[in-house]
Amino acid sequence: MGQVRQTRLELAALTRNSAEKSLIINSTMTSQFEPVRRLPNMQDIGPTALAERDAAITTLRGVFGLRGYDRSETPILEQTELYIRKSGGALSSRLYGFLEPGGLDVSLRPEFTSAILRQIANTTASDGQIRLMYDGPVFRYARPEDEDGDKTRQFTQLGAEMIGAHAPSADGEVIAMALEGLEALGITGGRVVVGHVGVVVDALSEFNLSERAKLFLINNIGELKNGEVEEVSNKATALGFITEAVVDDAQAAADRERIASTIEQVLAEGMGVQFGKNTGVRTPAEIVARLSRKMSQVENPVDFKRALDMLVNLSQVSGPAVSALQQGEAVLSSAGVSADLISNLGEVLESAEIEGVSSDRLNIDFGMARGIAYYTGMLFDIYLDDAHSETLGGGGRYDGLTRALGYDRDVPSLGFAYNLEAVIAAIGSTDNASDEITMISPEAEGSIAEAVAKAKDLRANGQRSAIEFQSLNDPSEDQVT
Amino acid sequence: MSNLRFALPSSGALFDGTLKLLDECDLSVRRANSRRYTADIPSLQGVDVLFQRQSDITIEIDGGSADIGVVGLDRYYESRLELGDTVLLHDGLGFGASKLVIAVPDAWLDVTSMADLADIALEFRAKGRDLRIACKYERLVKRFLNENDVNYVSMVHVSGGLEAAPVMGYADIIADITATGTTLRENGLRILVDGIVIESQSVIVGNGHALANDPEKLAHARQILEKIEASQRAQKYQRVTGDIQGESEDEVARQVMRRPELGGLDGPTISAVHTGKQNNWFTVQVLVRKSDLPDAVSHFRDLGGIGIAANDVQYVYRERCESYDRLVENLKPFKESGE
Repeated sequence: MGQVRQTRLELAALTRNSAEKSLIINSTMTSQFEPVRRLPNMQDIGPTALAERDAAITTLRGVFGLRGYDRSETPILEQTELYIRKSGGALSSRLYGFLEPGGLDVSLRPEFTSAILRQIANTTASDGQIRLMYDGPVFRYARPEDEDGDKTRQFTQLGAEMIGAHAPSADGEVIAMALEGLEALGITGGRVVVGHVGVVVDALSEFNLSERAKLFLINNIGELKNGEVEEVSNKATALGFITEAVVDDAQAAADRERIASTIEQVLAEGMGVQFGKNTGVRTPAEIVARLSRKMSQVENPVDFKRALDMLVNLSQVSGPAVSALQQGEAVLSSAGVSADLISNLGEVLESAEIEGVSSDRLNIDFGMARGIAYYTGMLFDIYLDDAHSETLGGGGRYDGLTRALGYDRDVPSLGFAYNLEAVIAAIGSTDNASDEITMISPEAEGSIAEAVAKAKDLRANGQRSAIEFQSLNDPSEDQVT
Repeated sequence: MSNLRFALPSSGALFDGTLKLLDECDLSVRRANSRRYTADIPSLQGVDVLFQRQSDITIEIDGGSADIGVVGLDRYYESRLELGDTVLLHDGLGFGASKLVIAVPDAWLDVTSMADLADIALEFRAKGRDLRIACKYERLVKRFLNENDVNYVSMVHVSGGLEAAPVMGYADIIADITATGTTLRENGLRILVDGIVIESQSVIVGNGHALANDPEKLAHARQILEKIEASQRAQKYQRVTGDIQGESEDEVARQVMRRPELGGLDGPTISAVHTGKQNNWFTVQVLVRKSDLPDAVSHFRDLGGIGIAANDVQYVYRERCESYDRLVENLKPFKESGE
């Protein structure tokens, strides 16, 4: 027993010591340490803004719900892989990624679509049509000197996905719903600018280009639209797509033959002799195999130049739907490409009009570039008005995404998301102020018990009420003074 | 109010370049002996010089234990804390030029661009391994790789001698600092055509909070910036002097200004030469760009000029100090209001 008692005493002493220690730490904290600041470009959100956001979310959920969309939620944290599979460098370089305690490489979600499609692919095997909506915070990092360097790095997306629908009418529905949601919030002037990745990809397919060259051109459409033709040409030259020498097919064929025979020689004599010893973990055979694959895909610089010229012209076509469609067809025809490619875009716009979207709210932009590489067909941005100053959100079609995520089937899918903070800013000031709170002072009521009882009564009647504790003495103050 | 703490790199190319630059600006550093990490600038009172490892300078300025410092731009971007108060004061001191590049074994004949590398990373992934990159500046490199869709990569930490990593077998490719690329070539490595992560040179960074709220520190920083800017500008100019005959100062000025581009930065300075015999000789001085020097000399000759001489100038000041103006603008967010 004596043993136990002593241990208790020691424990008590220890506890007292650590309590004193924590007191010491507390009293020196303020002088030694600076306050912990909020992360740059992150926001604290107060009651008014939250009430505004809640109201907007409720309204939009109502609009989407009436059209048959059900709510869905995915984790904020995912394996980084989910977002790099098909998102493209513009998004994957902005991930908040880190090693989680379990040793996995994870990222805060920068968008919802990949996760929603993963959820669908995992949980359903049916070929039916699924409509889902979601909302929540997303995270995108930007360096201070980047174009988006001053934007908040956490913002709220609210969006919808339609999975399992091929028809252009589905695209029309999604565009119409994006504008309908804004109208429900009182934003009546919303505009949509529509582009089409499919048109660009299909048009490039009519030239004799490698996948690598096609990808290069698609990735640079934004630069071409901005008139940076020379910069893009320089990059293409550096990468060998454009050669400065006069193009001579016979010469090019002879070159190819010469290189092929060199490779054969290398294969016969061994890599080390010709090209240095160090091939790393790649075997000489692997290198030669890929090189010959690459060479078989080498484009004729004339084809590349023609494709580039076509894309320069196409990227400049934008404006009201009817005239832009005509101009787009003209560009394709004059480049020797079938103008039929544009018909899908025409059908999409027609179906949006059937949904009641007036044509003056729909513009086309063939040079539309989107940082997220998974889009395969129509894509669109939502704007507040004709000035197209700030985008309120956007979306598009991504039929190949499920396969890219590792599932063995392509599921036609499309969707869009609002940037909720931008949408709310566009609504302007609304009256979402909460009801007044009735403060009850224990002093005035006579006692704490009476004050609590009164507050309870008020709450029972649905009235906000709270106890005013400040009037009660703070015992710690007594000690100090 | 306290002294401006000026952190300088304690070794390497940036150390030599910084001391030379400060010498040229009459801001020579005086150090009791080369083992001391503190020094001063006799011509500028109120400045404490601290010699620090280059890798520490940004961190010290972020943390407020130094006020301004000379550092490589790449190093600054790599190690700054964005929560910190560090601002860029001068974006190019003209030395320490280097590039951070992605290089692959020369024998990888099929890999010439970042797109090829993205492809290779996918191939590696399909075989169940990551592309291993030995690198300095992990933050910058990782972001650059991601931007170029090179995603399945593992970073290998190597201290010094990066170039050997692929031969030794503990990395597949490297990202390294190079000035000329010679060392990379000699080690059987080849820079990818679009594999430049960042082009860097020496810059001055400073703690925005300290500068914005201590007028004395700001004044000292201004003096340093002014001298560096004027000295750098002066290196582009030479002063040409010659005696030219003419009826009057105005007339000589008119003749000189027939070639306005050779008339000097702010027009020619003309003064009469008092020879005692003839009074119609004038000494003309113009400040011209070094590249215009031969033209300026010919122009003087065409006007019958004699005794033509050209000198370097130490400082050329303009109406305003651009880097200081920019600094004042950048410091606005750090200004503490009221107290």
